[in-house]
Amino acid sequence: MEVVRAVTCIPVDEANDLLRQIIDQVKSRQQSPAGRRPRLLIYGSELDHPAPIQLLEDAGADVVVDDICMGTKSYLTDVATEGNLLTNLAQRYLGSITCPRTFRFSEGTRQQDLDGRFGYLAELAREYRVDGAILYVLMFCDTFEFDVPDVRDYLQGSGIPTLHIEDDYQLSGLGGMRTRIEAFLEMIGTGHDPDG
Amino acid sequence: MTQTAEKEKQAKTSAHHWTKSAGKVRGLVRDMYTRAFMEGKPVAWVMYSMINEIFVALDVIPVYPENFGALCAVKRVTEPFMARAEADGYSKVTCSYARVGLGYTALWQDTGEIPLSAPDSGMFKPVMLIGSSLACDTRFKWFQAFQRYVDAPHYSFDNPIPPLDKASLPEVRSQYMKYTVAQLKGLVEFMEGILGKKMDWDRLDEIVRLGQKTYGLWHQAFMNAGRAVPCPMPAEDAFNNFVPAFFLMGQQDAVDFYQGLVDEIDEKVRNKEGTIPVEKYRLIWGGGLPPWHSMEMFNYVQEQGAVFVFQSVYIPIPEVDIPDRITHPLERLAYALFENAALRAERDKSLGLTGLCNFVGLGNPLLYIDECQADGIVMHWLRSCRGTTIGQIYNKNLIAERSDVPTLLLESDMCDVSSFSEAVWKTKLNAFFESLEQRGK
Repeated sequence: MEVVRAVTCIPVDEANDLLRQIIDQVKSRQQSPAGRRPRLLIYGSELDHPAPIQLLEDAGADVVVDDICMGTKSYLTDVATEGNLLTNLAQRYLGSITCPRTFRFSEGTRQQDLDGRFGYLAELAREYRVDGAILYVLMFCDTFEFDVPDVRDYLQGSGIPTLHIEDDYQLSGLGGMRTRIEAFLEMIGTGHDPDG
Repeated sequence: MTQTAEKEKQAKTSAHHWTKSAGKVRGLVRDMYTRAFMEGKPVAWVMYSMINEIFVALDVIPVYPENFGALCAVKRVTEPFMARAEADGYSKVTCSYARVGLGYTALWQDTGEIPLSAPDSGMFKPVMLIGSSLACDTRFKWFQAFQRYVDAPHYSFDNPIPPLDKASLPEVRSQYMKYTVAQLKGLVEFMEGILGKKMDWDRLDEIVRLGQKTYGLWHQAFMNAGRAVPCPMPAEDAFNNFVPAFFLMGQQDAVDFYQGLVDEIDEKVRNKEGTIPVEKYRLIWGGGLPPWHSMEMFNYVQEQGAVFVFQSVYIPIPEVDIPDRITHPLERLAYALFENAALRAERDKSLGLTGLCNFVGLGNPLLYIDECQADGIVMHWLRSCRGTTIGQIYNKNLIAERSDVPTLLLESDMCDVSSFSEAVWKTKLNAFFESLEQRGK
């Protein structure tokens, strides 16, 4: 989170240098720093403060992947550099980024519509072998708020325990979250062995 | 509940009607819902997007869930619907219209029956769900969410509003026109696919023309009423009288309604027939949807010698002079949509405002202070409606800078009565009236 936040506000060359250093550092690790802990996916909107992630980690979990606006949503897809660059930029914003704000017409069944909207999340969860998902949604972010019941059911239907937390941008709900998070982690157990 | 008790309860939460026309709206609304049950025609659930003409032309009965939300609030039956939606995970801060609609469909799914507490028989099962982006993003996310409970295909179209300082540029107009026409074509093709029939473009053309006539009458009636002293049609009546323009546009019923309203206002103006005997304070309802659950607050305001002479929420839209060279009805509709936004932008620019986006769900009350001879503005912060609440502080500051008319902010919600405190509202209103009195008004 700190790294992503930093690279959004420093010159590109410096950001790339920083990212290369971090990649080298991560690759040189011999084992997970924390041992056997539940692996979580965090989903949500404009989370740009590390406190909620810190809270999850302090409670005994590892956030191994995210799907938030400041996270993978902003860097998992690239802009095509061939052809009309403006069109490519528009294509990335409107076609590639999986933002609930962007309506995509679906002609199929309800299930196909849900697969189209949330299938990537279940894939992300499988790829990163997560034990559970946290839906961290900011109040008044209606596009996310209206997706919550469907995302929750979709992930749970895919066998991924899911906890929905609603907070405001001032993080005023953090204190009350701790108990819910601890109960959630207790429910999903200790999770995978990261080395196994 | 006995019929008498029900009537008493209703009387307690409703505002008085001051125009005969407002008294007709209840019947028109009831017809809107019962037609869906009685006529055997395909029903679409639709977000209001200024395109009712398309549904009329395709012989589809549109049902507007946001109107249903307001209706449930007036009847004070929203609570079980909202609670059901919240139980499924829809936040208490999401649009309460949406929570009412989602809860209604969830309860219907739970029991297999239309919830008994639904007013006017409820909303009939749709064959399609039509959302749009006009005014706020809830307007398509809500309809996407409906599919959790309603087995009907969903289509949403984009209905963009040009930024204030760019609306008059020809290249902007042409791009917006092209885009809007493409969006409307997509909608028509979607509907044709569901209905298994083609649009009759000549019929749509007639209906669009009829719609423009209706807009003209609506605008004439509302503006004449706002300017008149004494006030012939207070805002609480306007909150009824806008309904045909939103939900019956393109139908002869709407033309007849507004012709009747124009005549009624003219007659009241001629006879100097106002709402209260002495208008101590002329007010503008300057933003935020009304508190549908507690409209009797408008009666309280009048008891204090004040009247809302205008409201800038459901601003009447003038008839647009669409050039003859534009012949396709969808292009005519798109032209009117753009022109309305451009006209609003021009009016805002007349105040010297630049670089500001139109607050779609929020007219600028500053524009109407002189025209309506207003002494004060009241705004309504809504807990669950960003579309009509964002921008209120901007407008309040602007009014403070550019006029000597004070503004009062009240807080609650359009449907969720739990956000409303009668005591707080009365205390704030009383203090506001005292301050107006001290100002010599």
